[in-house]
Amino acid sequence: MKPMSFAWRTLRREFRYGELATLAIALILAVAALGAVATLGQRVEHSVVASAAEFIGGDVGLSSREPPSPELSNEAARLGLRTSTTANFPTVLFAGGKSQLADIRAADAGFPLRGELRVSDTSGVERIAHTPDMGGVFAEHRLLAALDLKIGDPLQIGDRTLRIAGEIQREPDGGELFALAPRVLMSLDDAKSGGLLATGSRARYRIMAAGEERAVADFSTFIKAHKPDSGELVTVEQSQQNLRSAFDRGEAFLRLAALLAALLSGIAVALASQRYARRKTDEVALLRCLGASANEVTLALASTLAMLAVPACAIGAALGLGLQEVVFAFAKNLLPVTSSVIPLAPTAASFAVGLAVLFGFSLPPLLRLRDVPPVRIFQRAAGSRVRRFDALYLIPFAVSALLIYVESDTPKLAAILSASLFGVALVSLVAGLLLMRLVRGARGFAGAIRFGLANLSRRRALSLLQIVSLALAITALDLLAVVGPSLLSAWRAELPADTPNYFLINIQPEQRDDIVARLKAAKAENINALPLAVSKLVAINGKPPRAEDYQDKRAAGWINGETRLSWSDDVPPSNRVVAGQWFSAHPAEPEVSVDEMWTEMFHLALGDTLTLRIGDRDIVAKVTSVRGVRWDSFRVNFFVLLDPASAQGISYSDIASFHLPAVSADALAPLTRDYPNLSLIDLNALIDRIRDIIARVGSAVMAVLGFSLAAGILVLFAALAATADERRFESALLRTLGANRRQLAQAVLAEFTVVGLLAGVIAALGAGGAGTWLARSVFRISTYLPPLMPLTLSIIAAAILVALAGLAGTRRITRASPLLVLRRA
Amino acid sequence: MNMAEKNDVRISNDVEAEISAVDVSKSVEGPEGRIDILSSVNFDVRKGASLAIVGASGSGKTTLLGLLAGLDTPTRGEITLAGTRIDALDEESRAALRRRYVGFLFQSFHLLPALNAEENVMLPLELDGRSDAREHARAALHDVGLDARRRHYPHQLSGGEQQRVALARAFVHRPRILFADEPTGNLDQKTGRVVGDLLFELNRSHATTLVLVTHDLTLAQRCAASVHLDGGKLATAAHA
Repeated sequence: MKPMSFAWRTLRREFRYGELATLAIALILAVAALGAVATLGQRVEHSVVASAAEFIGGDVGLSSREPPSPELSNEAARLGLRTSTTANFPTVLFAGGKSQLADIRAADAGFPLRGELRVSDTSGVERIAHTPDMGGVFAEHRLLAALDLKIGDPLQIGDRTLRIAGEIQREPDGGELFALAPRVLMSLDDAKSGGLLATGSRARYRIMAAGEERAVADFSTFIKAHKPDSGELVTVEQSQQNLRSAFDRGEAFLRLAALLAALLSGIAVALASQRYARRKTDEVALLRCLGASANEVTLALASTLAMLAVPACAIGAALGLGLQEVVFAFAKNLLPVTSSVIPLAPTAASFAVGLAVLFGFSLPPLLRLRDVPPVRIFQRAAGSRVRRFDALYLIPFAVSALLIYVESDTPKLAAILSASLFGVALVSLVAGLLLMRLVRGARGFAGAIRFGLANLSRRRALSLLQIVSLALAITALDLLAVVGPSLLSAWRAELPADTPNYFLINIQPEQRDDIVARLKAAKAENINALPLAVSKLVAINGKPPRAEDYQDKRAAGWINGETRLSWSDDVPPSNRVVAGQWFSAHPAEPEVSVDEMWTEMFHLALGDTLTLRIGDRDIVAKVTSVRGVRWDSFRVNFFVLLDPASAQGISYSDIASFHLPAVSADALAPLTRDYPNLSLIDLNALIDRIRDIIARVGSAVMAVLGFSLAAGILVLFAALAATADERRFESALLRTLGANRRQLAQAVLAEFTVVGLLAGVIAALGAGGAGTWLARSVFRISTYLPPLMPLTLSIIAAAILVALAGLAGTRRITRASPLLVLRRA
Repeated sequence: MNMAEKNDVRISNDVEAEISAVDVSKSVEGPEGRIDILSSVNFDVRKGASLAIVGASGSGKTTLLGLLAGLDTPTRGEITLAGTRIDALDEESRAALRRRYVGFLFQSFHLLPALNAEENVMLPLELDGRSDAREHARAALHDVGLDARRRHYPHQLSGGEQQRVALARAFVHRPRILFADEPTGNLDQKTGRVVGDLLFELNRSHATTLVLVTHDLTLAQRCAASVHLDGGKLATAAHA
């Protein structure tokens, strides 16, 4: 036999039967959802990197106290990279008898290498610009307001008088959130000739490079090998943590939706294959009877699947590409730097995953057809003996686990999803068995209802299959339609309207009361001021820490650098004690509260001691509590908090976060003018951007959700179709014996309402549990509570939907001539 | 044809025996213990002969047919088919033997619904890797008078036409032996007669050895010999 030509011939006709169409649609949905999300994820990742490149003004660079050495520029030129050098330093500016501390950026003509510098002129018209020519500066609005200046006015910087050539509207700068404000941009040559960069200046230099990816990587290696002691490598990965975190969460949402679509498709494939295999059993028996070998049968079936899979996966891949293009077009305004190049690797991967889903989920029943004995052609019962355990049926579980692991991208998401779905399957299996025991005999019900309920235990295996697959499908649908949106809402709620949008740092203790009073007068909300002291971690449990002893590379930063600490009588907002006790009023010895991340990084436990050097004083403090800190709350937060009693006498400044409505923003200019030592950080742009991301991720999730819902409905129908053949025969028989349509409908309604109700309850519990688990562990939304009312409604909806779908499936049966059905059987 | 008297074991020395059953028994495990379906059945069928197996429902006719055709293995005894002992062969070897030497005709036709008449007839040749399957299938369909129906699918054919397609499929690869299980059981009398005529005509023209299981005594009488099974045992014997 030529299995390929045999497969091709049969496929053409068999496509009409429904199972193969289900397989094809399931595959298309899975590949489209996975492909779209993976491609989108990669494009967004590229965009985030590109966006971060804009924020740091290049692809890679070196920041140091010394001017960059010529060999760096030479190497960059040799690698074909463009470079730009800047120097940042604080200085006091004078104009019209007023002065203002400003953060100066002196840049060469190449600045910025990435992103846009936008300045406006006197009429407010914006233009894209580069570094101003010698003799001119660009300044931020706050500086103009503080010094009462306008464009064209002179400004004294050092011993040079420069003219204000434009107002900075936007600059590639976000990499350094804590830069001093307000910003002035001037020519590097002016800064040099004005003596602002003389030896001993507080300038920090930065040479940035941009160009081809490989050259950038080579230059990065070169910098690492040649950087001075004070130098730090500047990379896109280090910047934009807040944005990245938002995108990462968004991607986790999308991956969750796509993954569920793929798993649902897998279930649909498994159910359809089961039915297809049943239909093919007699055919295989005939082929075996006519002399076909088991291998030929397997090859013919595999060829049929392959012929179905390749075009279905291709259609799915094309659909996925189309979908991601639509979503990307919708989302790209979020990021200033987008590439029109569509990465094809994720599409190819989703194609492969589609094949894996098909073969993984359909192989067990189809491979079992190898065992169909030829004698079945005479004796239908032959070969239908059920195996107690069949290792082949572990394949779909293995494929699911692999799929979850590969596609979820985070082991936590994979583990939670697997455990939840496995739990739902197990619980529904046990509950199904209990239900059958309960309804066996079904005494006390009217005839038709009793018959319907009794059907459950008569078709034991099929009923269980139906209950488990429906429970899984409804769980996935609940996760997507109920839990997903509520998670998104909870995420959105993390950035309420009064989220702190400004930081004030370097507040001197004697300035604090006045500043807080003025902020309150300006209608600032959520004012949260904490002391800030700088210490050095010199010992853990009495031993000096060594960076090489810790796997977490971030540990080196604290070991070699500074540790900022604070103290507070109460647990600060956005903090919660997860272990130990908060400080007592009068501790016997110094106590310290550390962030969870620190305990993991430094392997700390309650009772361990940290030695913190503050000035010339060493404080040995015992870890008495561990805090969970919401770092994305935009509030002042610290890894290390000291008990207030032990902090007596430590020199410090204050740091405050607060929310100031946009209409009151002008109140900040006099504040920074009156207290030139203050540094004001404006977080509005960042918060707006994150809000925008959440909104757009929500929309993108809804788009992927469409696929998942379609896959869920497909599973629903595949599950119902699984018993359709048998039910069709039974109904025909009952009608022949005199049952009317109403009685048949009652029986079907009774059976499916019970099945739908059971599956709905288990699914609601499973989805609610999984949602809470995901919220806490993956999305880090500690305040999340599953939406009880929608989940309760989903149970009712599941019962109604399943009952109606069952009824719809049976209507066709009851309308057909019983004789016809019996003959075909 | 030589055959056993009741349950006596008598091994044929007939060198021309196409099918030989020696002390063949078949039992299965049921919920209430072992059930003997066939007990010590012995007989030979000569090359080119025709044998009808008759008996009441549940007498073991179809089981015997399945064993003789190598579709199943006996619990005990020896079966030789086309000169090869098949009771000790594995399923794959028996399948290879069937492919080459055996044709089948079933009560419920067993045409593949996804293939048209011509493609159904091509099957045995394709299984044998023949490249001229289509030409031979057309000729076979011509022989059963269904030239005009070759592109029709089974559900577009009447019962008689479906069985004629099955006949064409049974003979298309020139099998040495044909096993037929109630070939007219699903047909009305008139159509059954037409199909029966065709069966014997093709059997004669192809010089095929025919083993036929039937309830239809008229059809059984057209065979050169018949055996009667009763409760899994040979009840009466006849000589070809």
